Amino acid sequence: MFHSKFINVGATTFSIALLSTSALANDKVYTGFPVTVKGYNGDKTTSVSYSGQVARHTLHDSLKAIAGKGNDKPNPSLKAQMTSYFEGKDPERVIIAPQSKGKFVIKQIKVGEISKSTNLVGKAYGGTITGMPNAMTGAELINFWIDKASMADGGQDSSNGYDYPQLISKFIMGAVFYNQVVDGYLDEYLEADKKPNDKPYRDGAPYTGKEHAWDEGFGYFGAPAHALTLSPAEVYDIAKRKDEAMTWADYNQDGMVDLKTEMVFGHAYYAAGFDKGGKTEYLHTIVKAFIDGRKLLTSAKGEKLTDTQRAELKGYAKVIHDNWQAVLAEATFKYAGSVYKDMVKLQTIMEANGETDKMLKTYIKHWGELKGFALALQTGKNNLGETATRLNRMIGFGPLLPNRSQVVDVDSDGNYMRDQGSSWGEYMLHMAKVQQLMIDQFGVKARANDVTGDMKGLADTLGGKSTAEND
Amino acid sequence: MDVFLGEVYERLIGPLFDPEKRVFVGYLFSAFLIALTIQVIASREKLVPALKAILSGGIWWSRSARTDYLVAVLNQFFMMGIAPRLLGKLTVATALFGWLHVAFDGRPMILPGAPGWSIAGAFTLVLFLLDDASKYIVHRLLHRWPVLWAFHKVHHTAETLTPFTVFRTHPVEGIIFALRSALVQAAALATFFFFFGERVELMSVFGANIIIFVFNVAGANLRHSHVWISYGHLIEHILISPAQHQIHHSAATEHHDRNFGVVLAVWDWMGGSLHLAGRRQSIRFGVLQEMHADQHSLNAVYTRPLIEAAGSVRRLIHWRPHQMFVPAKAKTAGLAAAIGGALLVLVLGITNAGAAEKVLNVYSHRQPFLIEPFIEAYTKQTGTKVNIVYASKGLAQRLMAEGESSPADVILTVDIARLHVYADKNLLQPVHSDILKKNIPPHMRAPDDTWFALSKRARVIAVSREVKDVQAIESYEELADPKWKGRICVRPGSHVYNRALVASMINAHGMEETEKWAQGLVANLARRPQANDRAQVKAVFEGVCDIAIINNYYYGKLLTSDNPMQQQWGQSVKLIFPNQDGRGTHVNISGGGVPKYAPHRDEAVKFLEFLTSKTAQDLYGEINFEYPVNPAVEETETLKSWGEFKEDDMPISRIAELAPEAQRVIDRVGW
Repeated sequence: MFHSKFINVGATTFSIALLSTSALANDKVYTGFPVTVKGYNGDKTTSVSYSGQVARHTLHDSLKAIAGKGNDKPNPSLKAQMTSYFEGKDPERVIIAPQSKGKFVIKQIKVGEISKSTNLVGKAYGGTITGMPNAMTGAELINFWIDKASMADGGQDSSNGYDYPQLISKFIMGAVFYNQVVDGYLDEYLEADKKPNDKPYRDGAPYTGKEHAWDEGFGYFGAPAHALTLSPAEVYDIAKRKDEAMTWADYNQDGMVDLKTEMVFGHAYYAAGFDKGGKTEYLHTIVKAFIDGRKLLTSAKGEKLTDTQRAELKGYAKVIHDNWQAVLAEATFKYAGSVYKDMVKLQTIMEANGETDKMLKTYIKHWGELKGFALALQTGKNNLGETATRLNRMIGFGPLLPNRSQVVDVDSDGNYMRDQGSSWGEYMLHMAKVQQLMIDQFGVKARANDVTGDMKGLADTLGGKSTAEND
Repeated sequence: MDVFLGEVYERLIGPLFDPEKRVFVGYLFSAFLIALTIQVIASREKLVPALKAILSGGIWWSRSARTDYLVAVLNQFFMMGIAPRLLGKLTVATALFGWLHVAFDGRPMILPGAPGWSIAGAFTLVLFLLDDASKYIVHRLLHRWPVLWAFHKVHHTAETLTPFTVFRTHPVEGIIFALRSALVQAAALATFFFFFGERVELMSVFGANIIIFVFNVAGANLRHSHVWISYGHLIEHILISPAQHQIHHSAATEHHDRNFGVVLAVWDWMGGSLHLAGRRQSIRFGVLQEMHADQHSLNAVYTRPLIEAAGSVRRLIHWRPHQMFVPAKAKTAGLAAAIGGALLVLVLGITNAGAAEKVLNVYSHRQPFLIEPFIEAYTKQTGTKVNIVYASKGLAQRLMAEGESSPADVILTVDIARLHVYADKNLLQPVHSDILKKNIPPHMRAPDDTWFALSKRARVIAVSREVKDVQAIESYEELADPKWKGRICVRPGSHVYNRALVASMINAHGMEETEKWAQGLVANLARRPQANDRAQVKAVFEGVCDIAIINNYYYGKLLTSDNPMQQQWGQSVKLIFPNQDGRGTHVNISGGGVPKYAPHRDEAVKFLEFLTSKTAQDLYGEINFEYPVNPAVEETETLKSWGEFKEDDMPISRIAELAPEAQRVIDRVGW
């Protein structure tokens, strides 16, 4: 590659020429956008950088993995380990997940190889979480769960119905990644006075304020830079670290998957999962909007953005926001359906006086995913108002357990308090209503595990378009 | 516009190419072939005269038939506007599907091993039967009910019948048919889908219900034709033949109100309206009274039925017997009184609003109808305006979220556990009131004066009056005796009332003993713990079990219920106040406290004091069969009649303290 100092100091025409060739070559890839900062004299050739976000993805995945290691007893060292991945900044922390698997070889082993001093807690949603008791902030809730997870059996508390790895993971996806982007980078950071484009993000940085904010947003989404060149199924398989996925994950063909640019994390994985079904295109829509926005920023050549440019950028930001929110709503929809189906199975087992342990574990796991995503959905830039109230009421603070009890509160010592919950049938109905709410409020289309979907299909086969006919 | 034109096209031409519709070209063609065959073979006609008879211009282009065509076209426009606004089958099915969850407490899947074709077959058959039966009923009503006949008559004024006469229908009838169809389809859909899930499907040919397909291919269109086809005496008891339907259209008096059925004749057979076709006869179609010049005009088809129907409705209203005794003057007087009353209410409301400067905001877990009499009495006594926010759950979280800006002055709960939540979250302030101290015994209030019991409820054993042995039960402990195996009913253990009972057992016997007892109790249950206390008494009444654990006031509520069934449940049991020879019967409390940031603190304290006064303490007994907490107030006569009892006087705060341990016991024994 050319030395960027040379280019920048030299002729602007040359930099334009480079931009257009790189734009052509990487039209579908989020990479190689040149340095546009005026007077930059470092040695970077590209202004793209979002390694801190990727590091946070590895912290999140690792924390989720450790959260399932408890053995049903108080375990201070486990708790300390979890806390280190949530709050610590040590670059020596090992990436517990994702790690190499079979032919799927991952380049980095330690968090520090991606970014030096990163944590999750500093970026956690600071608002009150109304979907759980005691008005905790995002960080307080995660710490509360970390404490509980360290004492749980394999991450699960079957008496109260909690699966901590799922709750922690899905909630962090909202309270850290989603919130940072839709409530920060793609919201207030797009205003004229915030992170201006005619100044470096910080002194000496190779990227402007707006460029870097945009890159960080892309980083949190968790898509590989070359996502637009891949099908949703291929993206999905990368996240699963399948042997054959190595071929398309390793974009630069160096024999390793670079977590910084080639891996799939969090939201991008879920978006791909829904898109695989063919009814939606969340992944490509979001990534394309990010790339289009980045092209626009590059075209500003380190000048302050005009109002027209900012308006266009806000247009891309809106596309990203709406589709990302829909991904969370789809996930809420999907797991409400899973919980419903698990309840049908549990009921069948209970009526046959069978062994419910295994099914109960699945039920609690799915409920954790449902609750985590439902809470994540509420960490966006908009106060969801009545939708949030309804969602929280229908799902409750805990799942309805087979003995018809449900957590209704947490006392001052952090003990869960339960009471007799709704009837089994009513709670199932709540799940169906959660799905309807997702359709009504967010227009979800993929609709995995649709509770009444088959009935709708069946209704269509009956026909009966109203015409006035007699006999 | 394109969409509009598209729909117009689809509605006008679509039915001809839709196998779900009677006038599908395929069915018309099969009917034509059948008609031709009948004319040639049975009537021994030559081909050309037979064709002429079938395609006669006198039938197909008669004044009557031309009206059919015009109405068919016009109706499509009407229905285009109306159809989207009608109650859809999916809306009804979804509501019904939801209701089934509650009715069956979950979703019991049945016949999991049944082969798919059998479920599809059953669904297709049931749907057909429901559809056909409901069509019969609606059709019969259309004839018998003058209001509806005004509309249905339009179809019967047809004097020549062609397959397109099916469209000669008033739009109001179109609405009735659409609703019938939605309800029937929804009932079948929701029920089958609920019990069989995705295994349900419709057996269909070209998208049409297979049974309807066969019916249509077999010449259903000939029902509205001049081709006489009878199935013979036997089959016409089962299936309606074209001839039978032509008889239905006959103007002859002896044919009136016969053969309402569509596919099956069994409904007519059962309903006494069956008329067999018999020998071929010449039938004059139409309605005798309507046979005048303009019966095929658009006015006769669309407007006149509305006027006639309105007339019948008016006649119906005038038939109200009591109106015969209300003179016109009285009506005026009544109106004047109503207006006067409204004004009075308005004036009083304004005056009242002006007077009640003092305000009190109550957050109540207690249901509004149980608290309102207290509020009325308090407002009457003090003039204070009381606002209530009611919620069975979530009030503590709300109070917490509101923080210092909370408007709440008083918290009222129906048990110690929920009251304790407020104290535990440090949401209440201490109240030092001599009146409260005097009226409430020490074990019935918080050691730090943050909450106070206001009434007591006893957790008692309700036993069947029919069964002897259970009447000798004397203690909670006995309920663990294996001799009661399969004879006890109780709601889930995690409910605060049961958890409080377990806490009282832990207080008396310790954890280990209590767990053994709870294990024994659960082993004796007649059914999975479910529903509420009332439902346990019902179970005793129904013979599911002989023993139930309930709060005493449910007994009173059942006995005084407006529902005679509930009275019977109540009458079927007798209350036992356990442990009278020992520590006494376990009691829980309803209580209250003053939130930390109450804006009207003094008023709040006064209100609590009022609730412990004789007036209010009596009300607890009268309204909800609860016991007074104030020792100076006697319990009501009704309560006395159920038996005097000694109560377990453990400090009520202990119950809250022991709740987490009690919950662990409950979880471990699977209650």
